[in-house]
Amino acid sequence: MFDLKGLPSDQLDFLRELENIGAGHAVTALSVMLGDNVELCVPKAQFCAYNQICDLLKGPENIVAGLLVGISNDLNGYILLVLDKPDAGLLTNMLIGELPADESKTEIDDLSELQVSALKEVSNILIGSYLTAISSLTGFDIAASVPELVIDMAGAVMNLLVSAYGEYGDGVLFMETEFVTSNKSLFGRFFLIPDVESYNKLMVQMGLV
Amino acid sequence: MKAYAAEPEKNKCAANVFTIGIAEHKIAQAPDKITTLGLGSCIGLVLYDPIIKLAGMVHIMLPSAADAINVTNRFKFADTAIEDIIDLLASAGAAQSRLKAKMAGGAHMFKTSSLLDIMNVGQRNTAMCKRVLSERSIKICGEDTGGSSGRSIEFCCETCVLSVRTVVPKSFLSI
Repeated sequence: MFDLKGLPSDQLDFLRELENIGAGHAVTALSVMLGDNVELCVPKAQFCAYNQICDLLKGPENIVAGLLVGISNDLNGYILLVLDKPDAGLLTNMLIGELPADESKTEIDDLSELQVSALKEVSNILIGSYLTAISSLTGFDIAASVPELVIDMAGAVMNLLVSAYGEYGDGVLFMETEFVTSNKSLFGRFFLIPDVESYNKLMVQMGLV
Repeated sequence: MKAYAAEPEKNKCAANVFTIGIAEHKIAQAPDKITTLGLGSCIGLVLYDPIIKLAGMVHIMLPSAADAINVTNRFKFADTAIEDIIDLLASAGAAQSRLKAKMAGGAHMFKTSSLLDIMNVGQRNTAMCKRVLSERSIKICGEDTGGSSGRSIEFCCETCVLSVRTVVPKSFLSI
């Protein structure tokens, strides 16, 4: 039986470290792209009840951009990058400049096709560097899927986490890292969501079981 | 829990709005309302007795408790949640033969389908709710399921209307 609540502290520490290294590499990549200093906050790895997840994202109805990459091979699961909707717009503007007002809008709320594409590309690079770091730390071969962008209510986007762990208990294993740019204008979170089997595999590989 | 009188309360201004979170439930009677926010692949299911205006809402996460490793909360799963809500409504005075259902949610948020079957969980949730309801001979009087948008819902016990709101794209629906 997999008991998420009873995780030993050394395993949680390792997960924090993993999150830190992964997100650290991703943020370095972002710094280079933006030409701005991006800071990383201390990562969290904790057991979190379902309804606390949305509180962390400013409530279930807060509109966020969720960028999801599926991982496979030695580790299975997902990596989710969550940005507040205005921050997602800001990030694309920092990358490709402000768009002319008449730029055609797509159905994904009010981001243009170019902005959506830029956002996917930046998440590809961020999540790619995140995975490379985790892969070299653990020696696991990890393949990533093409990123998928969803802009919707935080509650709906985070349903993924909830359904991934719902069959195991009353909460989720929650690993997140926040990053902020030097003028504090941009704020994002990474979630590492391994499936339970991969989680166990990871712990065995790292000699923590 | 509040004791429910068979007669609805007269003062409509005193309506409470109860908000439930993931895997939570609430039984309420007119003039109160029950709401749940940010449904993705989850289902917001309402069972109600239109005569005494008594309703129960549950925020269902997963299709079946039978597949679960740990069943710590029966309201998480479609099969066990529906059973328990029926019992709660019956003990609060609802007649099982009068029960009707309305449901919303079960969206397919991320389309990356080649991975785990959790991607398909919205569809499986919807199918399981329908199956359990039909086994119990409860008619579904309104439904807004599937698609790829998150939903917020509110059920008015007085009118038995379920309001469904989405933000991307903005829409509002009464079922």
